[in-house]
Amino acid sequence: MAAVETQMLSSSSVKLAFRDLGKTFFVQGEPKLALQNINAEIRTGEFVSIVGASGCGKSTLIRIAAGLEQASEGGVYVEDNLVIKPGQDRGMVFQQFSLFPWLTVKENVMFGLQDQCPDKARRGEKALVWVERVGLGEFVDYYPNQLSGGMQQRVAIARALAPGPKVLLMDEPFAALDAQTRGRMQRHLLEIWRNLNITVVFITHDLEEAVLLADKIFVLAPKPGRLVATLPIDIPRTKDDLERDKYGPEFERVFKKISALLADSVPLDH
Amino acid sequence: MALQSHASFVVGRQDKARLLTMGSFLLPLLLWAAVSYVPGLWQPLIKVSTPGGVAFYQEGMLVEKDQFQIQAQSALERGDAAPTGSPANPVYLPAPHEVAAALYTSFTTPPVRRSEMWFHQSIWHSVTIIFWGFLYSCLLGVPLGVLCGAYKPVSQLAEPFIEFARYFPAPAFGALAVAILGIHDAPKVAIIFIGTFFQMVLVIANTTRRLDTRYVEAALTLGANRLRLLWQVVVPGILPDLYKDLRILLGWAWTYLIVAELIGTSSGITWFITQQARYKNFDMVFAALIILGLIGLLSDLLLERMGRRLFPWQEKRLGGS
Repeated sequence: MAAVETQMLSSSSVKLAFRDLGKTFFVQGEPKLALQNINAEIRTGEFVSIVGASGCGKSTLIRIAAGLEQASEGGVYVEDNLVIKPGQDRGMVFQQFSLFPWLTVKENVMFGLQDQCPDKARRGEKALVWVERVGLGEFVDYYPNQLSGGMQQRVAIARALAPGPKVLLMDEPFAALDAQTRGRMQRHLLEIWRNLNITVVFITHDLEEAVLLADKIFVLAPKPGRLVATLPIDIPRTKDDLERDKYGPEFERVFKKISALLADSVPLDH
Repeated sequence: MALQSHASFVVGRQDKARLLTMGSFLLPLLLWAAVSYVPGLWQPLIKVSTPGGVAFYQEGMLVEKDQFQIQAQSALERGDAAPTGSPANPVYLPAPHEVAAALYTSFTTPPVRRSEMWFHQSIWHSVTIIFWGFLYSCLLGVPLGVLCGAYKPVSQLAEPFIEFARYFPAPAFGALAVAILGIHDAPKVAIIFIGTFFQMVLVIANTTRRLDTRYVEAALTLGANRLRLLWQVVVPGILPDLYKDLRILLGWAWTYLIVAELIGTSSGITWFITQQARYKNFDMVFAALIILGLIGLLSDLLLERMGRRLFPWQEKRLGGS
């Protein structure tokens, strides 16, 4: 698949890079700058959260990374290959539940395996492994409508991971879930991330979620969307080496710091 | 407990729905019965029972009330016997029992001429015309509609002409269809086709365009190419809506039946209606209308049931969390 174009720039452990990325939309013929001069790097195995006020272009940024939209300037590179269209090197989980309602859980996960695995029976077996990995083994033959929101997003994660992407892109994947389910899903995601050692780019407007999960946080500011800070989160992951303690003093300190950054980034008239 | 009360609530709602469904048929029937049987409720005419001194009156004749009064008056003035009669409804409003009887006799009456058909043969003939006309329409219209909805260039090429062509009234093609296709069933099938095809393309193109983009985008990120996008995402994604569209369009096909059956060698149930109306057998007309309504309603109910079987993923079942 010629989803990527080889570039000879090399920097070994950088998995995904935004280079001089800009995006201009045209709204009724008027150019509107959505993203400006984004430069950032994400290393292999890193869990990066992108936070920002609504309208700062975080969704646009991840959609460009997924290849669903085109950059106006610069671009997104996966292992130094310029992204020009969607491809199986990047898996995507959307905020809106986007499982195919006409396919069962297993068939949904099988969808992305067709190129690698032409034999249907083998494909089914592979899919089953993924469905079991997200803990839904007994629901393989259910249709998405018969599952709760949390279960649907688990399947969506399994579906995105099954083709073996290098990067997992997640666009506010838990925003539509209730608080309890969200907590369980966050932990579940960390388990998967730890077990597979996969690179995750996680968009959220929920700062607490970002601090809880990420190794590194990118803070975006609106009008136009630009990167104002890249903050490594060095709070130890105390709970089973996965989550952080969100009631600890360090958590509060980091949370407040980024809150202030976010507040400053938003113009008063916003 | 909570689940039980919820269930009983649902059952209660279903009972109510069933009651209302029955009511939607009972109300018109009651109104019809009232107008037919309750004396003086409507009955604008007088049915003559004895002509008396009025020379041109015959037994069983229907006359206007005020005319009857005038004739009775002048008969009395001439010293003749006054005509007698009872209030009656116009001939075009037969009572329910007369229509019920006609329903029976319509099936048991043999055709008058050898060339004509039994009533059930007429009905069957109509059904086959609809079937073939609509089938050809679907075979061409569904793929074209989906392609128009899925690919902009196809839409830009096809839809302007179809928008133009859909204003051609199908009946206007009657004479042309007979000239080209002969006098038997082919031009009739063609009329049904013309009546439904153009609308079908536009309606299905629209349905296709309404498919949620998130499914297309999800498929793209999973490596789907154009062909797979069409066959594995667009087509299954719109299928339940497409099916609903076709059910509605099938109703359109029936509206063109009356034109289709009047051209060439007249045939079918709508021709039967035209014929019976000419003889003023309005009980037969109503009987045939009821048959048409029943065929439509029952076939749609059947299709709806089938739809539920065909698209099981639309039904919700409770899952865990």
